[in-house]
Amino acid sequence: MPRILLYMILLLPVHTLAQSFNGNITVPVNIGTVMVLSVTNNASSVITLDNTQYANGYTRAGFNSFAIKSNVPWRLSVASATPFFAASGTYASSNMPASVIGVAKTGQPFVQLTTTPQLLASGNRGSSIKSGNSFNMDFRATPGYDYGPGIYTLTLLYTLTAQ
Amino acid sequence: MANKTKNIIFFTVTNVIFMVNGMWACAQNRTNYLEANSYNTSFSLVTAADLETQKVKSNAFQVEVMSRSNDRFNIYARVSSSSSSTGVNMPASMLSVKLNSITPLLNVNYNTITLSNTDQLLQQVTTPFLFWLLWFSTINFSYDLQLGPVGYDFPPGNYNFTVLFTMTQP
Repeated sequence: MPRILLYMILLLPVHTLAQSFNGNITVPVNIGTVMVLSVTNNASSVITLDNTQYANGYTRAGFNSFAIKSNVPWRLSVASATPFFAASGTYASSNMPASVIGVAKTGQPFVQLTTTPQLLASGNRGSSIKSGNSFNMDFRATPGYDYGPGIYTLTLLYTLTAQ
Repeated sequence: MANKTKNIIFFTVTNVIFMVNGMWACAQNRTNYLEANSYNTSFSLVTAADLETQKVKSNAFQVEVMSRSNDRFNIYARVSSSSSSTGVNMPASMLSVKLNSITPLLNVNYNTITLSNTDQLLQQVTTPFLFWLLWFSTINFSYDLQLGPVGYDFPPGNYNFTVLFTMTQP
């Protein structure tokens, strides 16, 4: 009888031992390249020059604002759509070049426009609130007295690409 | 001699009892187990909206449980491993789970649980008296899987998580 008791005592802990059982799943996540450019006009795109501005040029700080969201390091380039302005008016000149216009990220040197994309700004991955991913662009027009009076139109192209 | 025979029989019987109980103590057996099955657990994020909002896969996976040895059991989950093709790891806390439905109906937890690399308690269950004996053979938990929002801080590429579910019987 004592032996039976001993075996029963030994059996009991086996029944009451904490047990664990497990299984697993896998969760694959694929992330593609995502880049978003937002441009805001902060001034009228119609510019009328007065005498002083003919002599000294027209400058508008913060002409455009940019907000970039990108999960890759990025470059923002600017170019003119055409080498010359489209001109209308009896005395307008057909050969006013795009380089009359200069643009610059605020605080940076101006770049004169051509049809070749030029770097306006660059930055790292992040949302638009990340430092450097939102900024203003200044605008400057310096036609001088080399071109006749008229209405001149130019299209600016902004291109966001991965570095 | 008769005594010796009796002792041998007794020794054999008690060792059989030991073996049977040892079998019951093994992880996963025919009366106690946990099984996890994936149905729709993959995510593809390719737009700004995909990165900026939480993505949800309804009934993404199921956890099937049998606990005949104990009317009480707990279920835990943790991210046991993760990898990426980019060199940047996504934290376990990007994932969360939420019970969508349970069969049969029981009083369980429907709260959203954010995962981590340590065990998070998903369920603490007590089944009714004679539940396993008279009525049901398994309990099936169907879960929604939630990701993010991931944002723009993770480079494009492939990220993989392994989520480990553990059932314990106190």
